[in-house]
Amino acid sequence: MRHCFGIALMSIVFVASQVHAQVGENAPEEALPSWSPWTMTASEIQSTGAVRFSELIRMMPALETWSSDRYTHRIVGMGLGGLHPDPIDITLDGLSLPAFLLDRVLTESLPVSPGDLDELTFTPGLTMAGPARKTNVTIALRTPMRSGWHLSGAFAVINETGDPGPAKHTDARANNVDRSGPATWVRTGWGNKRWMIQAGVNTDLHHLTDERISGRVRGTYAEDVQPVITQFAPFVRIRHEGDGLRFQAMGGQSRRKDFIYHESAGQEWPARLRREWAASLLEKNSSFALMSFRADASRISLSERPSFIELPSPLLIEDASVEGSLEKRLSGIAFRLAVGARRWMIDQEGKHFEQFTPTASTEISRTGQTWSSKVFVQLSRLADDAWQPNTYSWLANASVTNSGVKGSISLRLAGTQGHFPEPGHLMTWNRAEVSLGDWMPTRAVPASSSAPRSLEFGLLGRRLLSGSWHGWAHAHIRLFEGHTLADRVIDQRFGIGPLLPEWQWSSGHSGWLFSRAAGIERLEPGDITWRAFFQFYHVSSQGDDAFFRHQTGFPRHRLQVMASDTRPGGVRWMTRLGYASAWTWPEYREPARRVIPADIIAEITIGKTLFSGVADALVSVLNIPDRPLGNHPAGVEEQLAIRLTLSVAPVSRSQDK
Amino acid sequence: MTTLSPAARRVFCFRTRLHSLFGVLLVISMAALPARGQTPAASPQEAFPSLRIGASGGMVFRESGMPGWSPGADGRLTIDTPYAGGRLRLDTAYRAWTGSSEILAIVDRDGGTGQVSPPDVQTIDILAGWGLSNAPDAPIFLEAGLLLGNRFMLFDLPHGTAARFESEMLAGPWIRVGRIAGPVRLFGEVRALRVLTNPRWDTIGLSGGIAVEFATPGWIRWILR
Repeated sequence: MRHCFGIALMSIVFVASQVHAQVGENAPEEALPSWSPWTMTASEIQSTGAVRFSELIRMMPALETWSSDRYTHRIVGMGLGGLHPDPIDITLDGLSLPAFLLDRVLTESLPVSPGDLDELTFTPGLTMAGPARKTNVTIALRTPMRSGWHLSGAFAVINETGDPGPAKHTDARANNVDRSGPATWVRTGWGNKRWMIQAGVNTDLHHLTDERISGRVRGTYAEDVQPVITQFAPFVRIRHEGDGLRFQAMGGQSRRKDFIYHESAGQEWPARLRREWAASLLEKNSSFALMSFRADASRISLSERPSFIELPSPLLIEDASVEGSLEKRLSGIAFRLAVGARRWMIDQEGKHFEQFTPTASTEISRTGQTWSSKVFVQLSRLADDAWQPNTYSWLANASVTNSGVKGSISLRLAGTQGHFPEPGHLMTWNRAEVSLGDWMPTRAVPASSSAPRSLEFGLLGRRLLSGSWHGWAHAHIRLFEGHTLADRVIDQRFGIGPLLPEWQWSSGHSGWLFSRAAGIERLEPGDITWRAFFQFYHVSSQGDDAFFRHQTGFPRHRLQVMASDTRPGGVRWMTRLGYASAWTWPEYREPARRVIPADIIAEITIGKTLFSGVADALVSVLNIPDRPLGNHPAGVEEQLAIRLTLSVAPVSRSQDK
Repeated sequence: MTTLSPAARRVFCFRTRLHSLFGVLLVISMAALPARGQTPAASPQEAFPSLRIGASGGMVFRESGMPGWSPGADGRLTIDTPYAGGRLRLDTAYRAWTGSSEILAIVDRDGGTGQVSPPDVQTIDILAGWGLSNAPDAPIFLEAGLLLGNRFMLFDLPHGTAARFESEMLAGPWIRVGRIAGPVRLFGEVRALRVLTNPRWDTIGLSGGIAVEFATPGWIRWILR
């Protein structure tokens, strides 16, 4: 099987190279217009009324997300990641901002809010690339260069209906399902379209009273006050976009009182999470080559809150990476060479575990008027790992795209092989023998005789149908072999309370997943934007029960329609209608294992510009069918809710680039 | 065939009547709306020409959903202004609810029973809405519309107690009728509100009060525009 992967990958690389040779000689060096079916434009984003970045991610059609507290999401791209969420690479104007902790993407600690964004694009791809932190699955965020002084902010509260109100004092069975805010963000700064400085803060507040989690939280949290998640995340940022020079630097801190949930623990961990982070990017385009240098570093400290159970001792996690690259264009072909390294460390009361990973990569790309192609290969070496010294991993992908006036078609192949998972993953914590107290017993990670491998093939086509309507189709197949998975059985006999899973690490699991999607869209500036798609899945475990139980939670069929518009008078609206098929979670034994009914999604947001464009007031009605929506047996359930959003921007966005 | 106990039948009948009353109020509200052609087109110069501030007191004469509490009298403050062919309205109301003095039997999660004396609760409603009015120069005025907002509930419990404070959405129609005497209006109002709790908490209230209308100050008109 390993040889098959290698041969298939080399074949595609060879084919891609031939395409280069055929079309590369006379093709002009013009950048093709980028397009993705998984994009939200500034107009669409502003029409949602969302204030939290995580609310936008929840609405991205290609993403499956679930949350135990609504605001810290497990994110799975295209339903192909199974129960282990993807370590999605979130980039802000080209700068990677890693924020991954125990299978969660810490979206709330990022210096991003929906009001900042000009565009949000999700790119599906292969994950499990290991500690070199180069994944093919990204969420790319683009913000405008500001001009002049700017001050902006937003405030939102969400009330979910179905709260028992006074009745809870006479009926102890009544559950409180409120969710609330306020969630706010504020930005201020100055720019002149070449330079921009900015400072900002995101805050959030949320009462953990959802039926699915309140019992678990009460089982671990030893304070007689409402369990509340609070978030405070200030940051500063400087950015320069000049002729031949591009520079960005940003840093910030995020403080959060949290209740961390993980399936393998089955209960909440009351913790204080503090994260400091910094990232920078420097690109210089000289006559010789495009030189770039990127660095990022973050430190997470986790400490205890009052608890009925023995919690993990305070933890310190440090993560830093650097990369330098040279890109040279010869005869219309761009060659890029990069070297870098990543250091990841976890420390618990002086017990120290560290991974150091030097990485080298090369990319060859060609962009012409009709054809573009790219081949990327990365090699990483995991050093100083007591379990697996001198282990190598590789990640490769190749793509070919043909674009014309009426459409485009793109083929992509990616593969990866490596012993080690993403450091933020629970498996690495277990390898480091971190003691997690009563929250979760530590499980020994088995030594694997062969490195896990993944191979992915994707096909994406788009064609102009009529007028401004486009149709698209996407097929995405992913093969897994030799993977180590958490083999879990969750016996939740009492309905509410800790799930107490029985589990162990289990290696050598294989299977494949197949996602197909088709959609239409209308992206006409100044008119109603329409997006509609249908996506359906297939899972084959080839008799591997652990693989089946690991992967079956997410793949389900989905149909969704989104429409949005901003009228000349300042009225903006957005509506989202959708259906996701019913499914079960096979990890759960009866009676907790249940058929989770089909999700019917219906949301409407309508808003109006006030005070000559200085402010926007939006009302969102969420989950109009008022039926419990659940993405996970342990996640929150949603009822009919209304969100009131007020955003203020004294400086018009039209002045921005 | 399912048979209902007398108590359950009374609750069912009461709820059915309440729902019917909601429907009647809604129909009356719709009927009070002038035909499209009758609404004078508001030019930009006429936007927000006046403000009306009203104060009123009222009582609940129908309530369902929260049998453990008795409603007290309420106080309301209303501000409204002409907008989009009708009137834009902001409304706030305060009411104290007295918890039942009798000890109620409760059922807990494990199926056990206990006794509780429900705490008093104070509620503040903040509502916004829109409605239509008959001809503004008529001596008797009739207005009807819909309100949407939030009910904030503060329970008479010690500070720091879990769930001492709650809030929930509410919505409903209203009808106001009154006599115009220059800038002053005397009015009576019927309002039906549904709080989207589980169980649903429905109230129908009567109120009476006085409102004063005056030209909108320039700075307020600028903000409203």
